[in-house]
Amino acid sequence: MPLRIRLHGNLRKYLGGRQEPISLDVAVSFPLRYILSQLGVPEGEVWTFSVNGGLADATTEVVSGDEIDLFGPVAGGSLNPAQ
Amino acid sequence: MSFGYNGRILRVDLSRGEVTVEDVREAFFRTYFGGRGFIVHRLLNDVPRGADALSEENRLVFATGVFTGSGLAGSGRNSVGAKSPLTNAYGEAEAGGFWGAELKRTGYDAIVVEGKAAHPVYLSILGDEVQMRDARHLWGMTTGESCAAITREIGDARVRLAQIGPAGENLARLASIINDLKHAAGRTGLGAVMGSKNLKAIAVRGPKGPPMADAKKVQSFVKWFGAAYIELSGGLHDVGTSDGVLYFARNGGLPTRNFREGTFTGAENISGERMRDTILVGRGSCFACPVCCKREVKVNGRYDVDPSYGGPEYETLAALGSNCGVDDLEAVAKANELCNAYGLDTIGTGATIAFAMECFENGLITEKETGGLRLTFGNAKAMVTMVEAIARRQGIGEILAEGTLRAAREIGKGAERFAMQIKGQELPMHEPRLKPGMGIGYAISPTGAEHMMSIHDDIYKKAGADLDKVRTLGVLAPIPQKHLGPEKLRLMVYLSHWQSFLNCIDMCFFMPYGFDQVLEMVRAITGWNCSLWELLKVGERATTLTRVFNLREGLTADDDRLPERMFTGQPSGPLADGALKEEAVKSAIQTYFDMMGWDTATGAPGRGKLEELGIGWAAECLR
Ligand code: SF4
Repeated sequence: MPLRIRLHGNLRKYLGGRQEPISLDVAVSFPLRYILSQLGVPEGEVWTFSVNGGLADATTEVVSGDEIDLFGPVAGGSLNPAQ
Repeated sequence: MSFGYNGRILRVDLSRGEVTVEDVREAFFRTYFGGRGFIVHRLLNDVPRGADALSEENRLVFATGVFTGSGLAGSGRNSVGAKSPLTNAYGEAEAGGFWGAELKRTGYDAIVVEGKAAHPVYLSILGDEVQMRDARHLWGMTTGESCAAITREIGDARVRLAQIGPAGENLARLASIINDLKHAAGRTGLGAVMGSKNLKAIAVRGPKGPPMADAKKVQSFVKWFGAAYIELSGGLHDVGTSDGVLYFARNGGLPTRNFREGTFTGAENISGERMRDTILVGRGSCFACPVCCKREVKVNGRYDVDPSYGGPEYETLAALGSNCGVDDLEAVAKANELCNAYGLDTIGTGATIAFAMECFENGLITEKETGGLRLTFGNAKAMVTMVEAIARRQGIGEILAEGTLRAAREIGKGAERFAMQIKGQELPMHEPRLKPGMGIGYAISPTGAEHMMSIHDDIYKKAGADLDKVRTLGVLAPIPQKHLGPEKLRLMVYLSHWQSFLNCIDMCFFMPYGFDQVLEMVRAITGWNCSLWELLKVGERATTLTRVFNLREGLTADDDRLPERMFTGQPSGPLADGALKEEAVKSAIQTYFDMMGWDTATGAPGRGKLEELGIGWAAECLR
């Protein structure tokens, strides 16, 4: 089973207009940081890492079948109402 | 010559059946700018101290700001205000859509409604032609039905409506005012004020808005945003505000089962992505806005949901979904449709149903009171049934229509501990234990718990675009999310001035414009040589006047408090250790008062502060 990765909020821009989750086939486990580099998502832009519904961070190891959610800053919409 | 405003306010006395026009001078506009500024000025001057919110003495004010109708994205908005029947304090709500921009085209900037009509009426304002028309045949209709009838009677499909549904007619304190069918001035029970005046709707249609000082410059901003909005607006176009569901669920901040929990196993089922991939049929918009963050959903089957009533936003998904333990997206969509058709605030209604569910699960109310309904968390059908019961004041809906605070008093047996409210208004769906600054904002907001007067603590916790923005105000370093010290309060003060200003010009909060861009826009619209300092002072002036209004109505600093539940941790999840500390909250509120130039014990603005803001006249209201 491939890894399933979803990008939320401002991170959507790294999806290049796609809506469906990204699938990545991985044979061994990797830290999330490595996945980010594969997707071209700067680590500093990720505000919440989540694996299988729980909180994680850039060093969390992921294996095939994991479901990953990456969020930019979210304020209830995707924008900061204060801006 | 005035730019960006008409300089005319329409006064409608429903008791006498009289309509008069008041001319307003430039100095007044440049002091208050519209929206909140107008409303609070008018309420302080026109509504007698201690007036019953549902009596003829109350005023209902519909106001636009200098930004409204400018053609810039985010300029379709209007404010509505009155003394609130939910809080007995300052009441105000903003609605998007098209009505505000259309009102401006009629040649008026605001409408002040007073008195009470002898029988139901609606107002039709077609340019200079203002009529009070019989609405007896419309009373009892949903917003969709009355919209169709009024449009037919006026004979112009382009007419825009601000209207109430049966909830407002029945004086439900959770009643909203709906622009057309789906843009709600939801909070503080203003629909009940409109109902108490026997006013069903205000229809507007006008030929032309006021001129702008530098229309070319305004146009260049319109062009720039039209090209840049997809990049600038993140996921708002794609999944709307519902992007928040999964983010909050992961962080323990998705209000679940009446704020008892913050992670919800059914979050996926009510997420923005799920909505997009299943029931979404369109992305709605407001006047001149390309972002289209609004949802239009259609369901056929177990429920029938009509897309003309829009679709649920984040607040609605959480209030009627997770907070009621419901993960049935179609049921939430139905409840949202009913709220818009009956004219109910989705936040207050969801929070009140969640309150009732907790009362039921604890035996404070039983099937005897609910008419056999098993009002348990997660019972989607019961949740939908309750929306209708509240709007129609049927069965237990009779007391729930009063909102959680009054319902808790009626139920007794300690039910108040389940009422997630501040000053009588139910908490919005941003968890204070995840965002403590937001919690402080809830506590001090003049309208009761309110997320449009608060900050989102998480977005300033590290360097990024949001911090870059506030650096221009002198807030240079990131502030930890859970921190409640002076650094956080200082940021809050600055941003609350700004948010208040946005509600004075009536600009949508989602616009990703920078401070300087908004300043440039205001200068181009009005021709005034404004500075950012002046705009922040406009916001501060309005906020300070709302405080004066509440003190005049007998509220005290004691009313600026959070529900007890916020001082306990969640049973599990990321916020298990997230209980707020009572002392820290109290001290933060005092620091905020101090920074605002308000007395740290009473929260009363000092004479010097009032004079500094050019509103020394308001000192009289504090006597
Ligand atoms: S961003 Fe959304 S709420 Fe704001 S004006 Fe545009 S469509 Fe309306």
